[in-house]
Formats: sequence, C-alpha cells, structure tokens
Amino acid sequence: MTSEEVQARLSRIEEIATLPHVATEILSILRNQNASMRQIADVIEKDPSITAKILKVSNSPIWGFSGRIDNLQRALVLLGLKQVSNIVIAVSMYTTFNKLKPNPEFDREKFWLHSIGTSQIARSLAQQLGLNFHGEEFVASLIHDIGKIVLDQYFTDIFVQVLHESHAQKTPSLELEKRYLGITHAQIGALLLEHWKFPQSIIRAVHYHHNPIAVDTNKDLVATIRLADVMCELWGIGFDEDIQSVDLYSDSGWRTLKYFAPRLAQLDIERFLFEVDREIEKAKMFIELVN
Amino acid sequence: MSLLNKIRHGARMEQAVKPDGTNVLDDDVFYQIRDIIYHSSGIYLKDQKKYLIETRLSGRLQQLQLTTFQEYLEILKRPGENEELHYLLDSITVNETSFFRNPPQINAFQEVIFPRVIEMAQKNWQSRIRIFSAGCSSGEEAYTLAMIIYQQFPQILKEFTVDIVGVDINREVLQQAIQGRFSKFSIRNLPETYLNEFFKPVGASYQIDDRIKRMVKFYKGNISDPDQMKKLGQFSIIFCRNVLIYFDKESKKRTLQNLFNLLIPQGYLFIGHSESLHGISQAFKLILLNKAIVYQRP
Repeated sequence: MTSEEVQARLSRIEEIATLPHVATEILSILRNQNASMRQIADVIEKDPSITAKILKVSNSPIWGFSGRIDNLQRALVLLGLKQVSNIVIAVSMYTTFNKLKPNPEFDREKFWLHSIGTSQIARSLAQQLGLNFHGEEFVASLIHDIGKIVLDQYFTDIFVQVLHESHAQKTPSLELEKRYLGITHAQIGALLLEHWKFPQSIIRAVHYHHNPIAVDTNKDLVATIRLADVMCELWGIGFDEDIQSVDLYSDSGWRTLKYFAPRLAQLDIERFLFEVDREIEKAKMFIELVN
Repeated sequence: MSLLNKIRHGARMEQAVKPDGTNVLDDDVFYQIRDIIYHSSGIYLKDQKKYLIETRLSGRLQQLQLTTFQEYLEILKRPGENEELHYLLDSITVNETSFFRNPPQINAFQEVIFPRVIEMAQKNWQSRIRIFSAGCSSGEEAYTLAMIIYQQFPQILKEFTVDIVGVDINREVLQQAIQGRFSKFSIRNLPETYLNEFFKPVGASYQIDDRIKRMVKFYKGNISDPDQMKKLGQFSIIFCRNVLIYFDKESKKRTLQNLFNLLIPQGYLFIGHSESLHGISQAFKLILLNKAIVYQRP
C-alpha cells in the first residue's frame, strides 16, 4: 500500500467512532487548568448511564472502595477529580469501541481483556512504586493498542495478514506494520487521540508504549505502560502471539522506570507476577460492570 | 449465652467449624500464613490456594488440639528452629512430584530455552549439552527432560551428546530413579504419546524405556555443598524446583552460589513455578516467559 493510500484512509479516522459527549466535554474541561468538581459532576450527571457505570466501577475491588461510594459527589471526594475523570474516559472508550463491527479474525474479547488487564497491572505497579498518575495510567493502558482497532476497521486485509504472519513466524507485529503500511498501531493510536484532543501525556504513552526511551516527557508514565503491557502479554492475557520472552532488567521500560522510581529495584517482581492473576480477575470484573 | 442466642444477637463468631469438619480460615489469617511461608521458603501461595491450606491443615489443627487457625499462626510465628513450619511446607508440597510437572515451565523449556541452548552450543562449538536436575528425587523431572529432547529434538542427539545429571541427598529416592520404575500416580500428567512410546507396564507400575534411561545419570550428593558440586562440571540448564524451599536463608544463598558456578555463561536456571529468588540472590538475570520465569547467568 502506498503512503498516499495510507494517508487517505487515515484522514477518515474521525469517522471511526464518535466519542460520547460526556468524554469530549470532560477532556475539554480538563484542558482548562482550573476545573472544579462541580463542573465535572455536572457534565457526568447529564449521562445517567455513564454515571451508573462510574459508580459501579469506583465501588468495586478494582478501585478498592467497595460499598462506600453511592453518589457522584462522594466519588469525586474520595477518588479525586482527576481519577474520576479518567474513569469516565476509560469507560466511554470501552463502550464506544465495543460497538464497532466485528471481525472474525480479530478476537475482540481477548483484545479487551489484554487492554484492561494491562490497565490493572499498570495501576498496581504505579501504586507499589509510589507513583501517582491520577488514573492516566489506567486510561492510557486501556487504549494503548487502540490503533489496532483502527487497523481492523480501515486496513482489514493488511491487519489480518499481519496477525497471521506474526503468529506463524513469530515476527513482531510492529515490524510487519512498518513494512506493509509504513506506520505502526502505536502511531495510529496517537493520531486518533490527537484528533480527539486527549491530554498529551496519554497520547505520548500510547505513541511510545513500545519504546519509552524515545520520548522526552512523561517517561515514567510511558515506561509504566510498557512494563504493564509486557507483563500482561506474558503472565496475564496475551494478545500478540509474537512476544515469547523479555529480559526484564534490560527491557527499555524497566531501565527507564528505574530512573524515576528507585523503588523498582527493591520491588519483589516475582511476587508481583505471581499476583497478576488477581489483576486479571479485576479486569474481567470491569468488563462485567461496564457492559 | 447459647449458640443460638449468639447468632440471633448477631454476635461475631470467633471460630466456626464447617459441616464437613474443616475449620474456617479467615482471609487475614491466610495472608499472614502466606507471608510466613513466602519469607521462609520463597514459595508464594496464590489466593486460590487458601482452600488447600484450609483442608490440608484442619487435620493438623486437631492433632495439635487447636481450635482456630489464629492459634496455629501463633505457633508458626515462634522464633528459631521451627518444626511446625517444616511440617507445613511438607504438607503443601506433598505429592507434587510427577512427570511433566508444571506445563508452562516444561513448555518454556521446549519452545524457548532448549532451542536457545542449542544455538549457543552450536556457536560455541560445544560437543556436549549438559542439564542438571538438582534435588532430582525419584527422577521424574530428569526423565521428563530426556523424553522431550528424545522426542522433539531427535536431530540434536546426532549433533551433540546430551547429558542429564540428577543429584539428590536421599539414597532411597535415588534408587527408585536409577531403577526407573514408577507408579500410576507419578505418570498421571504424562501426555499419552510419551506414555505409549517410553513406558512399559510392569504389574501395577510402569518401567521407563532404556533409550531414555541411558540419557540420565544419578548421583548421591548435597547441592548445598560447594566441594561436592564442583566435581559435577558445567551445565547449560539447571532445574532446581521445590528444593530451595526447605533450606534456611544461608543454605539457600550458598546453594544458589553453587548453582551459579555450575552454569556456563548465559546458562539458564529454572526454580519452582511459585518460587522466588527475591532477597536471596541478585546474581541472575530475570527472563519473563509465557507464564514462567527463568533465571540466566549473565
């Protein structure tokens, strides 16, 4: 496929889906530095179905406040404005993209389990390292592979070919994407999020989640997503069949994160991996709550 | 107050016994027991294993004339040489040994690690590929590896001499290993193809084929003794599963030092799938595989 054809298809990217109104408004409010809880609450309350889902998610073991959050105000007070906003964005993204036309070659369920599993692992990792991303790690992980959905919807033939070839030859799908399209799912995902005016931090995390060394800002967030992604791939729910092994301490995510979170060197990583199952359970819970 | 009244008044029951006679294990007590096990042996019990503790230890509680797991916990917490801890470890690992134990690790060996070892051997002009089963017990692990190599990598046996060495401190289990006769229980996880190809029923037992027996040598020895271990030569892969858990910290460190020295550079070490080297050794690289970990000598 020529570069022009690729560009032509990508220019239609806004057609892929419309972000729910509530998400667009929240994103817009967040861009304004002086967002207030009142503003956020007002926007969310306009969408009762999202509100209900937010309360369910905030109340579940996923967030660790079970049984204590029965209204939005409380959610905002206990979790903070940014966390709640990020939960809203995450829930909206999931609901939106889940509605797209299915493709038998693309296991959507496994895709979402991997994405949500990654977000749980990222949350847990950040917590244990004492890093506070206000829930951005949750959103960014959830949508880190959103570019694959674009590929699935707009470049279906090539996408299927990449899936088959990476599975058969164990070639990294990233390499195949570059070869056949000249662009990767990471870059495509970032493009989509730019279009939707997501915060730059999340765009960067999605763009560089395979290569945290290449980015200059938000390195800690990007590295966290990277690590959570490989851990989920190998110890949680994997989606790519092409990753077989990771030399952990040499991994770009690990090396980058160590710089920002010295605690990482002390982290009992074996134990963390043994506990990944728990995060996968929470991921499954999220899907149930939000569907 | 009678029991019935206690329930009516919503009084919190200190301890309850389930209809089948097992004691109830509170999450909180379970987490503490889990931590004690983890810090002393390196075995991590996932949440799903709570049931295992509940059932395996209820009988023990009765033996010790205890009524609650909280009381049992107090015994475990006693400082110094702890008999009960050893008993506990035994009870959670009992009947663990079998052929093809822990499929993800065996898979990792077959799909990723052994192929890499072959590549290394080719690059380094080695004529032998050596594998060590440290704490080999009755030999299931060593023979499992032999069968996989024989079955899945037949051409390698033409290119290299493959030596598998098993060492254990217990003479009895070694005898069994050398004899190569196994019970139905031992072979329960064996894929049918391997069973049919490499085992012959003899009475109620199963005898392993000579082709596989020839690939493995067993010796009596103590893997925490550096002098003894030095004599074994070097290996590309070492398996040391469910062995370190019984050692105290010092012995663990010493054994790992031995194992490190026994590995060729870039050689691999597999320990138990719920075991961790955290806090014991920082000498190895950690390689993440599909639902398995392998350590590598730099």
